[in-house]
Amino acid sequence: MTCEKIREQLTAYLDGELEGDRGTPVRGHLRTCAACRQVATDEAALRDGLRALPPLDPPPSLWAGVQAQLAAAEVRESQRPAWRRALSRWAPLAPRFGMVLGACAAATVLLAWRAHRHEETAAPSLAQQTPATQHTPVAPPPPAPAPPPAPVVAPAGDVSADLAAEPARISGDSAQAATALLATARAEIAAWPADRKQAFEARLSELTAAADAAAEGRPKQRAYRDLIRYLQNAAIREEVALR
Amino acid sequence: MEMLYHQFKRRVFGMAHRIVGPNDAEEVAQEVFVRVFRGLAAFRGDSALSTWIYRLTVNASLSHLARRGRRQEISDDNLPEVPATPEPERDPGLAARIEACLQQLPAGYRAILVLHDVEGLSHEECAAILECRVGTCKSQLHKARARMRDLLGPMGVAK
Amino acid sequence: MKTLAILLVLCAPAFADPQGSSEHARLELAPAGHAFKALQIENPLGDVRVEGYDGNAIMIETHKQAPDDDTLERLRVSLVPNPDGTVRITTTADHSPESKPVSRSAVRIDLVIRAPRNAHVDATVSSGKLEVSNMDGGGELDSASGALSVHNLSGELVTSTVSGPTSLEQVFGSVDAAAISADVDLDTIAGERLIASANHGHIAGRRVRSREVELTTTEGNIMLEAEASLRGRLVVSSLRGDVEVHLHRHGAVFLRARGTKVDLGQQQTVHPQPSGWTEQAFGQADHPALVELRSTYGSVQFTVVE
Repeated sequence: MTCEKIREQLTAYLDGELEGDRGTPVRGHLRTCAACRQVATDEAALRDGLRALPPLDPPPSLWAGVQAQLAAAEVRESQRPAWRRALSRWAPLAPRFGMVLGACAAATVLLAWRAHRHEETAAPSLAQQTPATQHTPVAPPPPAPAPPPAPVVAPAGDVSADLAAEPARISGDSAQAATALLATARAEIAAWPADRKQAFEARLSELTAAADAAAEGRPKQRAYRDLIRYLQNAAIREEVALR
Repeated sequence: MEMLYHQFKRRVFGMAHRIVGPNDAEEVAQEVFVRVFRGLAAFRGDSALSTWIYRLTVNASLSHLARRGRRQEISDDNLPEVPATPEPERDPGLAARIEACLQQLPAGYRAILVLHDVEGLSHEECAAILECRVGTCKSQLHKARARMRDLLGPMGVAK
Repeated sequence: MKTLAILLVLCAPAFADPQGSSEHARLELAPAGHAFKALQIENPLGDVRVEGYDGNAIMIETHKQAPDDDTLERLRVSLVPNPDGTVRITTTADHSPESKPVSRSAVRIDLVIRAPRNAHVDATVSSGKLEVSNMDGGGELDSASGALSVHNLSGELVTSTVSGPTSLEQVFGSVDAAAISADVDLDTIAGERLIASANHGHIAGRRVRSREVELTTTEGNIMLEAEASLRGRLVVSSLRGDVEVHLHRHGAVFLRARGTKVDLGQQQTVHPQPSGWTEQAFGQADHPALVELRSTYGSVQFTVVE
């Protein structure tokens, strides 16, 4: 086989993807061709170098930024009239129910979009499906209640902002400890029989959901405490601790 | 929710970092997580959660690159200062050269190398994330590695 | 020496305000009708100290510090007595569009509270110290990174911290202490139950007399000196830490231990069972106290003090 043909197969060959005898001609060629051998060596070294690239830890500001954006989005959401908020809750379901809802919902969205051109579109996925000529008469939207006054947000770095962000920061620390401990626990329970592992995963889901759902502050800290203790017990003891 | 963040933060940030570069990685990663949490309720579960999250990451990274325009060159001063977890390396110089050359690859090649070689995802997973056929992924990988070799070539890959 | 003492006193005011403005106030709250049943304290801006005393009123000292008077104005202590006998004390930093941004490290509010002994103490701090002493109504204490310290408390006590060193001394009642990245120190604890856990931190216990004891660490060591009670239970476990227990026994004890190395302080070596546990009975009884010591990757050391 020509060098060109061999090189086309090198990636698959080096990654162990040439099954059965298909690797033999490549192997044979590499034994005799220094140039192709060099290419193979280079590519293997490159692949190993890429594999060895270290995992990257994001800065702590990333999580804070995510939460800030989510919070800001929630504030914007709460300022929209109630009927539009309800519509955007429908939007994710629309693809599931297909075009059954599409017609009237789409028309409503079209009217809404035209009326509030400068605001964010409530349901982008529906708006994209909207045919331009749908003009089904639709009752005008109910009068919108006055939006709640926008909260005065303290500038970042100010003590008030810091205090406001603290509960989330604390639960973030707890969540991080729980995540690390989860990895340890999973490593320790790797040799458990399947049914016990299943029981563990089930209980773990319950405790994780409880921690996610708990209110910020003490309730969340208690929930994380229970989760961390459960993970400790699972990691240290063979019996699944039901606490 | 925090646990989901911690579970995926390294992968999302790492992928974004290696596709868009160190300066914009945090912004892109933030955008991805906001989309994840806002879209979680609507996630239909027709793919693995991880596939969905990685797809969001790759798409956000590639869109960001497209908006920003390609960076022309990376000088030695711009070698990324990554907050990496210290791990023993056979050739520390090689890692830095690889990171630098990654930034010079066309975006599509960058994505497949990061997904398959750096993150260790299978061809099937890569295809699901990139929404292309497995065969296309394989040939993209081959071309991406060849291009990387060209870039690294003058500096020498193997010892 | 006398001259020096006088000089120091005179100098005190100059040292009292090393940064900007400060304000010290004292409030006294007398009960209207029913005695005060509980304190609910939230102070993310500094220390909290609660001391019990034999009286009905609550006395609160507030110490505020800020870089300037305008910022000082933002620091607020709110005191809300409820008809059910609870008093809520919270601190905050107000914010208005005109306020000059100031960093958290530049402001402080410390609270010193003297309260009727029987009041329950529910307190949360952030990085400040939380100290509770001489209280008999139990407590629930939380901190992020601030040190938690309890001295002489009766009643049920629950403490929880992310990284605040926790020190509980002379507690009579059930105790539940949790720390994520901090050490837990226990001295003279008696009651129905003692549960303490640390993820990254050591647990040390002396004069522990609770009937049921459960101590768990992931990374840290556990050092315990305890008394075994009749029909009691003592479970000490660690993933990677070393476990060292010295037990004063007054009755029969049944011990099980496992670790990378198990030392029961006996002259004759006791060999582990096929299950991996080393078992040893001390004394004879139908219902011995059960002691279970375990470390997956660390050593276990046990001695009995008769």
